[in-house]
Amino acid sequence: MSDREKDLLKKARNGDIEAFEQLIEDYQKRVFNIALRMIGNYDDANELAQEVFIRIFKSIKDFKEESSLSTWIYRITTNVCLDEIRKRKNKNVVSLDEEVKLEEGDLQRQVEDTRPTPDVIAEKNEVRKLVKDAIMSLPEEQRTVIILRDIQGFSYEEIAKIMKCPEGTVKSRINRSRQILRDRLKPKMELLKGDYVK
Amino acid sequence: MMMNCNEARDLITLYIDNELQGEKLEKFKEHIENCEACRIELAEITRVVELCADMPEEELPETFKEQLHSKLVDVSRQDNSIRKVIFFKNSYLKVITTVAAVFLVFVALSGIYGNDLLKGRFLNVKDMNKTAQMDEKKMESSEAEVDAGMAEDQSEAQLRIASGEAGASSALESDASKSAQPREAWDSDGTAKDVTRGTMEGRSFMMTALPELREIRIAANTDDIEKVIGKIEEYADELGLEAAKKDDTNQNLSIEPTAKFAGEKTEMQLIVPNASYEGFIQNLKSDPELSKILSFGEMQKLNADDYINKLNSELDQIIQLIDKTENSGSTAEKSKETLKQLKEKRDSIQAEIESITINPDCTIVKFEILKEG
Repeated sequence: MSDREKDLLKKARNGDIEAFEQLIEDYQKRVFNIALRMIGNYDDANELAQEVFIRIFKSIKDFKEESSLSTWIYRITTNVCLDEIRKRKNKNVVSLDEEVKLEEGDLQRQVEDTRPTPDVIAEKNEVRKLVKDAIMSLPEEQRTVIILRDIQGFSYEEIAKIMKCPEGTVKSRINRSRQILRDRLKPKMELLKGDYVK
Repeated sequence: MMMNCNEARDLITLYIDNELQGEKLEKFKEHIENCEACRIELAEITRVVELCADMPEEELPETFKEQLHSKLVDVSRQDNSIRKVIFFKNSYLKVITTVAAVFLVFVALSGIYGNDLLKGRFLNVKDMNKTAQMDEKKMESSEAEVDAGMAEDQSEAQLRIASGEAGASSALESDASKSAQPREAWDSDGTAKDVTRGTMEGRSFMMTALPELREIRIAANTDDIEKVIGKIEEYADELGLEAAKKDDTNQNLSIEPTAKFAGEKTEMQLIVPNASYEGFIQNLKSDPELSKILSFGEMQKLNADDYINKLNSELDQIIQLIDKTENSGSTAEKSKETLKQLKEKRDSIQAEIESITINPDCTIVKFEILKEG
């Protein structure tokens, strides 16, 4: 941890909001994106990511520095998301309206972001939607490892620390999750016909 | 021996992630060269990984930081407002029953002593006595003598009583002398029982000319907030019980925690009658553990009227918030919880106002206990 981070952490522990905001500055985007992939919905991800930082603010005094700040932040992120997913599963709150609203929002944003020709965009968006749906259909533990590994690019070791489980478990979960994703995507498209080069 | 398909498929993920080395890597490659099914499996899974990596990274919502900031401000305000108030309910509540009688005297005396006394509040003589006993030096306070004015003709004990309240109260000496109390009754042992029993249904009251509250802040850093609170409560309890034993008229002393404490920072407030204050602080200071972590601020004097006005406006705000929350008709868990907290706070402030109105001669002891990182 850098001296600057140490200083900010100390101030944040005393309830200094400004110092806290500086401390989390570099983590916000990634936390939001993890939440987005976990929950699949832009507005909910916004809420969840804020919930993550509120929780961090409330418990920063208890942060014992046994793990790095980033590991701790991403652990809280996955925990908050998993809690929400489990809560929803119990309540069956996923409404059709919500789903539709999300998809549209996602598409709009992607159109704004990229500027190649319309048919390329359409094709890319279609592929992404399929991948997104497949990820969303994974059980939550498997969804978490896929998001951390294949979307966010964390190492096995980092994922093991974030999820507080042995590295071996992480490896087998990733392996299993990739196989399930493959099984779900295969019948729908020709996507998987990438050339075998290695 | 060549690797079989099951073994190879378990290693696909590690191969893609460049985590395979040495002999295992060689054997895996050898198997893939020779097995079409596994070669296809590897290609497909590699593609899945590519597709995941191609998922776009979204920018933070525009209002994210702004929204978060206002939530953080709310949270830290909430944290600060969580407090625990404990009241020593000595015999003061019983005083109310005799307020009507005392009020007559009050009105009569205010005529004699002018406007200052209109602000006066009632004070239990017995408690004043206790204080007088406790602090011999204060008894000689010159302030009291000045207040007393006609000191020569007054019983010494009465002066002590007045000074025992640290100048906050100017006892109505002439009242006592006019009613021709025997001087001997106010003996140096401080037990004025005979006298007090002799007037006003067993109790005698005096007025404080300038209601003044005392406030002291005590801070602590600890890794175990609950333990510290427990200890403070114990001492509060002890003192309360002791006071109950001494005061035979009081059978139902209670100490009421009126709010739950928070995880990281807890404010706790005790309304301690001045008569019991020194003993309470002594106990805290002689506790081996507490003495190490407590740091005592300076005693502040507060104007009781101002203080009560402040509490009243706080109360108004909370009542408005409760109305607003109730009228919103929201049944969400969150607003239920908020409502519960608001009501707890309302009750706590009401009780505090009541307690201080009945007995302004008290010290507000504010603890701020922080969790140590």
